Amino acid sequence: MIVRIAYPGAESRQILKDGKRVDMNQWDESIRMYGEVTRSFCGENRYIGVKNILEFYLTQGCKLQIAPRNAIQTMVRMEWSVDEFFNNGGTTTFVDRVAGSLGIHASTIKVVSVYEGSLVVNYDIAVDDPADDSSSSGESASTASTPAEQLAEIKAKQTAAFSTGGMDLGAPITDVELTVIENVESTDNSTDNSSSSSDSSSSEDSAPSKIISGGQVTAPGFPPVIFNMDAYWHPQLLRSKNTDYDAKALRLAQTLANVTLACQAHPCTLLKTGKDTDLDPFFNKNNEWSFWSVFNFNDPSSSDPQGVYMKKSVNVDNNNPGTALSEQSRVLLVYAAQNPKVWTTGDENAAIILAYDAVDASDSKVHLNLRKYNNLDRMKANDSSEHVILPLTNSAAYESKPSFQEVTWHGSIANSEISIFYEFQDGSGNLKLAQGKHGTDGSWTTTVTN
Amino acid sequence: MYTTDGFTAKFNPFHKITYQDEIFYLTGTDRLQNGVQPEKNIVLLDADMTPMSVLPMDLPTHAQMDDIISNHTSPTMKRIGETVALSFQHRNTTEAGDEEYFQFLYFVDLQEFLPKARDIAPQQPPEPQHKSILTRVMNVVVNAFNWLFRR
Repeated sequence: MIVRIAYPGAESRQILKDGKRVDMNQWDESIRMYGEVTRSFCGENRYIGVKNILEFYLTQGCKLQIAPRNAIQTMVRMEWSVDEFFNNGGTTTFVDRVAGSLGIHASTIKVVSVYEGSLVVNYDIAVDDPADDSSSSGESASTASTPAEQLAEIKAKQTAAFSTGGMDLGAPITDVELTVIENVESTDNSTDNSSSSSDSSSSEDSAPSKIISGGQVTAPGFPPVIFNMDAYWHPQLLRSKNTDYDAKALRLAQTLANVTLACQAHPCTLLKTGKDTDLDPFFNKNNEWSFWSVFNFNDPSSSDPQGVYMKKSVNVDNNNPGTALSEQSRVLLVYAAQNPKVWTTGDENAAIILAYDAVDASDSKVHLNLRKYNNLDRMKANDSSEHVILPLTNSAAYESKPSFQEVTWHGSIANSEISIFYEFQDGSGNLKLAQGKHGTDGSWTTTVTN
Repeated sequence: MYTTDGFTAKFNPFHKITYQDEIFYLTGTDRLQNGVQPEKNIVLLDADMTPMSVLPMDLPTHAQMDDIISNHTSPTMKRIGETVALSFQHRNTTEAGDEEYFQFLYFVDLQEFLPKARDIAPQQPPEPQHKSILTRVMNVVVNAFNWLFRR
């Protein structure tokens, strides 16, 4: 009979018969997977990639063992179609390319699966198992003595090849992940009394290691070189929720990230800000291409005091992004403060709220602060009409980096609903995120969100 | 949540976005680029503040921008009147080791997307229909016919 076992993962496995490995059927380019089990002999087997099904032929009285195999599993995503891949030599050429780039024998490389996305190829590089004396080719991918050393050597060799551009697979590489599967010798290799099929244990040394992500090298210890710019500029989702949500999130990510496209349709510019950081723009004027912003200035080498400033950036050259802006009306708003955010309640004649953090003299700790300026002119004159220092909560050592979420304005900070996200450090030194709400009665309640 | 995907547990200001009835947040955060080297990133978060995507921010080709590829942070996105302003910051370390900053901004004029005044103005009452005498007579006949047969 033909036995098919569906595994939840794609760990490398082998069929052992009388303690010797039975090689999988040859890859069949016509069906783009390993050749079908033809019931030729007990132990004939193949692995069906993507579905993760191990299929083997079992005859009466024949005892087989399924064992994990020491291997480096590699997932490579390339900018190629499946048809292009198979029209350019398919798995044979691919294996030759990997073998040539790594300087190992092609027989140690097994393509597990090939599927669309753009093109994903999963392949294993197996190392000799000392308990198995049936190496089909007599070739080894490594000269190290133990399987663990061999795996480490091949992993290092592959990581270096991919991270330094030394792996030529015929198409631009977008993503590479490696997983080490080490066969841990198990004492319970018992067989059952009829079908003679058993399983031994394996252990993965870690979660998949990302070597290249989005066209950029992310392997530990290697410079984050970008090998594939097209892939790098294309945002990817880090996780999936559901089809509709994923589509929206990806569309939004692509829209926001594609500044080049945005600048073809909308005014945009690059402002060289020197030591002015974390600008929060407000009150832009399209007709004169100008805007106001609050920002941090924290340059110890400057004679200007550190703190929260505001300024007006003017004369933006709409047709020449990157042109430096000139500045007007640079004003120090709060000395020794930082992380300013602005909420405007109307136009330039309406009240403006400024949130920031600063050390409070009462306890020498950093608190969130809110200030109200009656209008833009009063703000330019650094004349605030209301100032609220929010009390620390949740046993915080400090609270900082406020960002407005919602404001229901009733004319003053004291009677307005103001919702703010902020970072704080708890009593154990952990950084936490919290949401605070200032109520119409002047109350301040907070909720830790993580 | 921030320690996944190589992000450091450090929070920065968030900007809420409602996009196609879903809530998202924009923020800046540090990430160990290769397990060793920290790099600033702009990140799109879901409503639960879970990172959904790292935004690479592909700047237009221009002499001053060609070298600006990564290390973006401090994104802000807000509506200012009838404009949406999106800005973010790039940190550059000069060969001398000094840090300098660039701020990139673009403004999307919502005028072209918002309903035009003529579309939302109160509608004029429909003009009275001018019917000929023959049409009126025919209407009377048809109405009478319908009334008789409904009975």
